[in-house]
Amino acid sequence: MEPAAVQYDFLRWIVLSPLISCCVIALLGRKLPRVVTGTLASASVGLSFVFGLLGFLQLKSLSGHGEGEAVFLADSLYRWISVGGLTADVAFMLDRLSAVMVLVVAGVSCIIHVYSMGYMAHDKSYWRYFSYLNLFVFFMLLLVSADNLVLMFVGWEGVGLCSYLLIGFWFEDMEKAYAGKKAFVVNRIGDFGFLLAILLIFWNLGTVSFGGIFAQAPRVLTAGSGLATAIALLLFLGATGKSAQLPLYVWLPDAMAGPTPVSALIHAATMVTAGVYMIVRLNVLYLLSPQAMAVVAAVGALTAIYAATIGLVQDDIKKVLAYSTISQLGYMFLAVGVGAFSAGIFHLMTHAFFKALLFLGAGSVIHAMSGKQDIQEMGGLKGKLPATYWTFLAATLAISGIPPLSGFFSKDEILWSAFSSPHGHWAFWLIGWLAAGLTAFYMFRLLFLTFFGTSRADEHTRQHIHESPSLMTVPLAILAVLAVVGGFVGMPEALGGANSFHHWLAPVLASENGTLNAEAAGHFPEAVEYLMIALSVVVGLCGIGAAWWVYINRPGTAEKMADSVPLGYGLLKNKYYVDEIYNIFIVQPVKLTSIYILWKLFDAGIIDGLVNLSGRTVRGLGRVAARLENGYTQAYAITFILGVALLLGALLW
Amino acid sequence: MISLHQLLLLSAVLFVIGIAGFITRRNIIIMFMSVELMLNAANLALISFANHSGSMDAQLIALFVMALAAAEVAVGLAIIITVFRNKQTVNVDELNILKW
Amino acid sequence: MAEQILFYLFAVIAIISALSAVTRKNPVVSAVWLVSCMCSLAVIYVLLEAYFLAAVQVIVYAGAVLMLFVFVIMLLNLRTGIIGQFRNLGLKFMGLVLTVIILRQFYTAFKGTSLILGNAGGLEPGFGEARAVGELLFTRYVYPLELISILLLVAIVGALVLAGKESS
Repeated sequence: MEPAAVQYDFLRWIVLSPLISCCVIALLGRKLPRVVTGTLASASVGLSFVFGLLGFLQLKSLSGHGEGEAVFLADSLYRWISVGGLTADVAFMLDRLSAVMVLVVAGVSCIIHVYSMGYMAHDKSYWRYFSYLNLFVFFMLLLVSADNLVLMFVGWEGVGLCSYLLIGFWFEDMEKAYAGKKAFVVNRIGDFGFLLAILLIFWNLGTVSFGGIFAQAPRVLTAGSGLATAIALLLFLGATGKSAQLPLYVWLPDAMAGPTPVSALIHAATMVTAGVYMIVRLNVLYLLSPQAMAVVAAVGALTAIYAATIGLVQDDIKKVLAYSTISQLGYMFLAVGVGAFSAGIFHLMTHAFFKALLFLGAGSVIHAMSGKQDIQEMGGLKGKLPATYWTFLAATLAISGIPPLSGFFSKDEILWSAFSSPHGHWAFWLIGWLAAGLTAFYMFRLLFLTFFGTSRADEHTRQHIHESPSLMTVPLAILAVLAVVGGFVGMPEALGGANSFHHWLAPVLASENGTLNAEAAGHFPEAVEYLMIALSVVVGLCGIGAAWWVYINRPGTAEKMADSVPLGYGLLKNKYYVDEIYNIFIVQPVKLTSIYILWKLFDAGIIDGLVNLSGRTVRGLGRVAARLENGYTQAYAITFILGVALLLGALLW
Repeated sequence: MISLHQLLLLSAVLFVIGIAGFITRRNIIIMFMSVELMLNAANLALISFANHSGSMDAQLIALFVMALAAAEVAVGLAIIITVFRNKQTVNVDELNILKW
Repeated sequence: MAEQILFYLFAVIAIISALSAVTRKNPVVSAVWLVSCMCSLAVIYVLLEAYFLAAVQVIVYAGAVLMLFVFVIMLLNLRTGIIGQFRNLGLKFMGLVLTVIILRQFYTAFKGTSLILGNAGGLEPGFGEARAVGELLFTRYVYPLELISILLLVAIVGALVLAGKESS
C-alpha cells in the first residue's frame, strides 16, 4: 500500500523557526540583553514543538489512532538539486516515526533551552551559546523531518558541526578544543560510510527520497544479497560514528568537555540517537539483509555491556553518564538489530527523558559544587539539593528499569524482543540482561556517592553549595514527570497495557513488527514473558542492592575489591586502554603517513612542484612575449598591419 | 568615363601611402597627418560607392567621417601638446615608456 | 572625356602631394602638401557629383584641420624634423614590405570591378547637393547627427582639459 501524502504547510516552520532565531541571535546577540536572547531561543524551539504537536494531531486525525492507513504530511520548499537522474528537494515529511522524533527533539530541546538560561547565566559568550544551540535544533529537526537521504545528510553533518562547536565551546581550554576536534574527526569516519551508502542507494535504486527507496528497495535488492548487506553496513558505520557505538564511541566521553546542558541535549537525548532513527527510518533496507541486522544487534549488545563495565569505575559524574549513554544506545541498536524497531524508538524516547534529566541533574550538582565533577569529592548533597535529588532519583530508578517508571517498559521490551524475535538470540538477551544489572549498579553507585553519606568536599566548596534557581529546577521537574510516566504509552499487552506506542509506529515499519511479536508470542507461552519481566526487575534490584551494600552499608568495600583484582580494575579504570590502542595503531600511523608521504612528498614535492612548474613555464613564455612589448608605437602599428595583411590574404585566397 | 576600378585604386594608393607614412616617420605630428590621409582615402572610396549606387547614404557616412576626424584632431593635437609639455619631444621613439 | 582627363590629372596631383606630405622633413611643408592633396580630392568629389562634400572637404579639412596642425606646429616651435639615429630599421623595412603586399591585395580585390559609375542610368537631379544632404541629415540620419554633435562637444571639452592650463 503506497502511503498517501497530505500537504501541510506548517511543516516548514517546525524546522525554520530555530534557524531564524539562530540568525537573529548570531547577528544581534551581542547587542541584545541576555533575557531577550534566552527567551527568543527558547520560544523559537517552543514554537517548533507547538507546530510539531499540531502536525502530530493532524496526522492522528487523518489516520486514526491505531494501525490505520499509512499517511504522512509533506511540505516541499523547492527543488534543491537536479543533476542527471539525481533530484533532491528541500522537502519535509512528517510521518508517524518522524512525528515522534520531532516531538521528542523539540520538546526536550525546549526544556533544555530553558534550563540553559539558568545554567549559562553568567557565561560571557551567552549569545554565542544560544545561537549554536538553536542552530543545532534546526539541523536536528532537519535530520528527522527530511524527506530524502541527501537532505537528511545535511542535517546529519549539521548536527555534527554543532556538536563540534559546542564541545569546544570553551575553546580557550586546549583540552576542550581538542575534544571537539576528536569528536569531529571520529564522526567523519562514520559519515564517510553514510555518504558511500547514499551513493550506493542512488546508484542502485536511482532515487534518494524515502518514498522512492521504500518502493524500490524490495524490488531491486534481493533479500540477503551482498549489495543490500553492503548498503546496510555502510549506513550502520555512519550510525556507529554518530551514535557512539563500538568501535567509534571514543569521542563521546571526551565530548563531556562541553557545557552540561549540551551534553544533555546533544550527547544524550537527541544527536547521538540519530543513528537509531536513521536505521529505523530505513528499516526496509535492513530487513533485506539479515546479516547486517545480526551485525547491528551484536555491536549493540557488545557496546551495551562494554560501556556499562567502564561506567562501573569512573569518578567523573559526567563520564559515568557518558558511558551510560553509550551503553543505552547499545540497547537501542540491539533492539533495531533484532527487528524490534518500535522498541528501539521507544527506548530512544524514554532514554531522552531520563538521560536528559540525569545530565541536567548532574549539571545542577556541578553548579552547586562550584564546577567540581569528581563524585569522590561529593556526598551528602541530599539535604542541600532536594529538588535535584528527587528528580535525579526518579531518573536513576527509570534507567535501572524499576517498574513502573519509563525505563522499565522500554528496556523490558528490548530484552523480550532480543529473546523472542526471529532475529533474536538468547545470547543477546543474556548480554542485555547483565548490562541491565550493571546499569543499575553504576547508576546507584553514582547516586549514593553523590547524594548520600557525608560530604567529602573541601570547606570552601561546601559553603557554596546551594540549590539551583527555579529556572533550572522546573525543567528538572518536567523531565522527571516524563521519565516517570513516559513509559505508559508503550505498556506491553502482557501487563494489561495497550502498547499504543507500538501500534502507532507499526504502519511505518515494513517488518510489521506487530505480527512478528504475535508470532513470537505463539512460540513462547505467556509465562515465559512474565518470567522475563520478573528477571529484568530482579536484576535491576540486585544491582541496586549491590550498590547499596558496597557504598552505603560497608563503605570501603569498593577499595578492597579494587585492590583484590588490580588487573581488572586498572583495565576498567583506563577504559580498556582503547584510546591508547587507537593512538598507537591508527592515530600515529595516519599522522606519520600524513607528514612524510602526503605532506612532505606528495604536497610539497609533487603538487607544489607541478604548480611551480606551470608558473615557471608561464613566466618563460612571458619573457619571450614581453619582447613584443618594446614600447615603440610603430612596432605596434606594424604588428597591426601584419594582422590586416593576413586578414585580407585570408579573405582573398 | 571614370571607372569605379580606377577610383578604388586611387583610394588604395592613398591609403597605403598613409600607412607607410605612419610606420616610417618618427615625428608624431606627421604620423598624425598620415592618419588623416588614410581617412581621406576611405572617404574617397565611400563617395565613389555613393556615385556607383546612386544612393546618398555613403556620402552621409563620409560626412560623419569628416566630423569624426575633426573631433579626433582636436583631441589628438591636445594630447600631443600635453606630451610635448612633459617630454619636450615629438619623437615617438622617445615616447617608449609603455612597456613591461 | 574631359572628366577622364581631369580625373587623371588630379589623381596624379593627389598621389604626388600625398607622397611629398609623408616624406618631407619639415612638418609645415608636409602640412602644405597635404592641403594640396585634399584640394585635389575635392575636385575628384566634384567629378563624382558630391558637391556638398567637396565644399566640406575644402572648408573642414583644408581650412580647419590642416590649419590646426600648422597652428600646433607653430605652437610647439618645431622648425626642422627629428634629428637623431634611426631606430627599428629592420622592422620599418618589414612594414614597408607589408604595405606593398597590402597594395597588391587591394589591386587583386578591385581588379574585377570594372563597373561604370553613375548608377548605370544616370543619377537623379540634385544628387549630392546641399539640399539632398540636409534632407537626409535631418530625417534618416538625425540620431547619428545628434550623436556626432555630442561627440564634437566632448572633443572640445576633452581638448580643453588636456591642453588647457595645468591645474596644480
